[in-house]
Amino acid sequence: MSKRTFLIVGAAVLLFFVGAGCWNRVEIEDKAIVAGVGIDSDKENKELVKLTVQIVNPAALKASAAEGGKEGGGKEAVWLVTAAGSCVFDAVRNFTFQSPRKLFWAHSKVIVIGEEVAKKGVEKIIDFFMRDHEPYFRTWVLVARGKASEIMEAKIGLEKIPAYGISDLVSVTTATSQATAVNLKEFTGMILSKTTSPFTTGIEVFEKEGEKRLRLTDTAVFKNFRLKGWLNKEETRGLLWILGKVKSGIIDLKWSAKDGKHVSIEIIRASSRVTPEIKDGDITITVDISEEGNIGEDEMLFADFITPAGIKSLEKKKTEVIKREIKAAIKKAQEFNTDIFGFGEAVYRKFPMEWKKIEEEWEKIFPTLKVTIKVTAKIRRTGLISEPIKPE
Amino acid sequence: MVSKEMELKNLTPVLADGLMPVVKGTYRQLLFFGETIVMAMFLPYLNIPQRARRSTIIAVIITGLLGICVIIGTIAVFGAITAHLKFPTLSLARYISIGNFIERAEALIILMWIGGGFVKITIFHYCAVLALAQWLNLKDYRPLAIPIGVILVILSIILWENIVEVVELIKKTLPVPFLIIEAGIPAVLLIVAMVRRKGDKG
Repeated sequence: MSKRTFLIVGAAVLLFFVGAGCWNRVEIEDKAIVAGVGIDSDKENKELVKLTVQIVNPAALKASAAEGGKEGGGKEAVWLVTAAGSCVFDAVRNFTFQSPRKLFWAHSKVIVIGEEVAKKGVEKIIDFFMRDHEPYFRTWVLVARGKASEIMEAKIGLEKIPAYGISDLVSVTTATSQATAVNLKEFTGMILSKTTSPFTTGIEVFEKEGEKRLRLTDTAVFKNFRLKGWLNKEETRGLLWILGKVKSGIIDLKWSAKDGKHVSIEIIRASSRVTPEIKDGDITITVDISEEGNIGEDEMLFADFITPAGIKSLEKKKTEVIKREIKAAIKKAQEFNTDIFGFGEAVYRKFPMEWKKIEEEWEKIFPTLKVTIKVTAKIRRTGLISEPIKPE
Repeated sequence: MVSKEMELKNLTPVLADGLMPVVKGTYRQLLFFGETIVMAMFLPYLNIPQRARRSTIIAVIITGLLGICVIIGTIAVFGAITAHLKFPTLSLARYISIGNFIERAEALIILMWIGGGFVKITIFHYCAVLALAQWLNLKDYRPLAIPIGVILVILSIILWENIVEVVELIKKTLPVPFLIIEAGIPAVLLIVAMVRRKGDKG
């Protein structure tokens, strides 16, 4: 290759990288960055979708940082805007009547679905967020107990942008494993399955010292796009045990009902295996849970558990508690007839041939499905002290 | 980079509906591997034609393996959603998130696609020009480059009205004619060449 051709090719390659970027650039000042969105239905006009979005106000964020923690010059870090439309995208574009900048969705971290909308069905909502190129699959999906707009209006301490605070709330659910964290991708995956029912965490507003605050609550369970019911904390952890999604959390062993003394165990790791079995046309599911934990707190001053035999009795008790949680979850799910555990998928994966016959009847099979629960719970360590603190 | 999100059980059951869906999928995929035949256009211009066969085979194997890796990764992450995604690889790159810090790698994918598309269009364009020049017995292929380029651009605009038509064409219409062009005609040429050479010798 002569020197001249080399130069020409080099220039062409350079142009290829440098010259391609600018034809549809948008300056950041022209974007209204959405932090989170709440979806309600509009009461006055029945068919309409009403969106409440939190738009980040970069100026306020900057101002408060400069003032060193003081409220940013009276300015709010987010701007709440509400718009209605006949469908989600219509409502999104209708924001431009109020917002001088077009909404930008790539940094939106939560989608809060109002309870009413969830009861009517979420099929109208999901498509836009999956189809449009701006929202991300990692956006958390939540269901509001009550109106989504109220969730969007409430505040979270420590966080300037409430929607990002909600996103962090969902991220730290692993600390208790009593609330679920479901993002858009996972939610859609569950919708696409013929048998698995989608679930996601709920969120509610409560009032404290005259201020509206947020907290995560029960788990919302869906059936065919529609909100079917709620799982409480215990049932939620039962669900997470089966899914193998328990990362951490406290197992509270109430030892004596009389004086309400506890020993609590911190879950260190847990895993699960779901094994379906077909015998003479009857399906049974075996759930194997193996869990390891450390003693986190011991109030039982009179009983000495820090012996091999004591640990064994704790392990036995812990096994019972885990079993109870799982049973509660299964009972509730069978009541709702919602296969949130993906048992149907498990059967399909193991017995694809037989599944074709069962598939249509799964609705009838699931509520009476026999589930065997096997739990192996271990206690490994006792923390920084050995015997409980008590007068000798 | 998304290995944390992968659920290998998404890959099962293997061959649940028998072998037929796989064969059908392979048949469509053949189109893209069949395009390797354009390399035959370059054979007479290579410095060491003897090595061409080996390099082509290695290239096909590497591309195939990379493709399989990407597909396995996508299905392990997205499961049933994969079938609904228009650009699974792009979605996969968008899903990357390492420590809430390394995110949104789709720009890289786009860069690679545009680069790859550029190279591919260049090669096909060159081949078209070269073939036309040989067919018309021209001494030089270069005067044809710009007219053919103009035709390519026009065709790219008027051939399809929307992306659904493009996908439908690739899925339903193209396999048969493409296989004839990519495999049938070269095979016939090969047989003719072999017969002729025999005749020469005899």
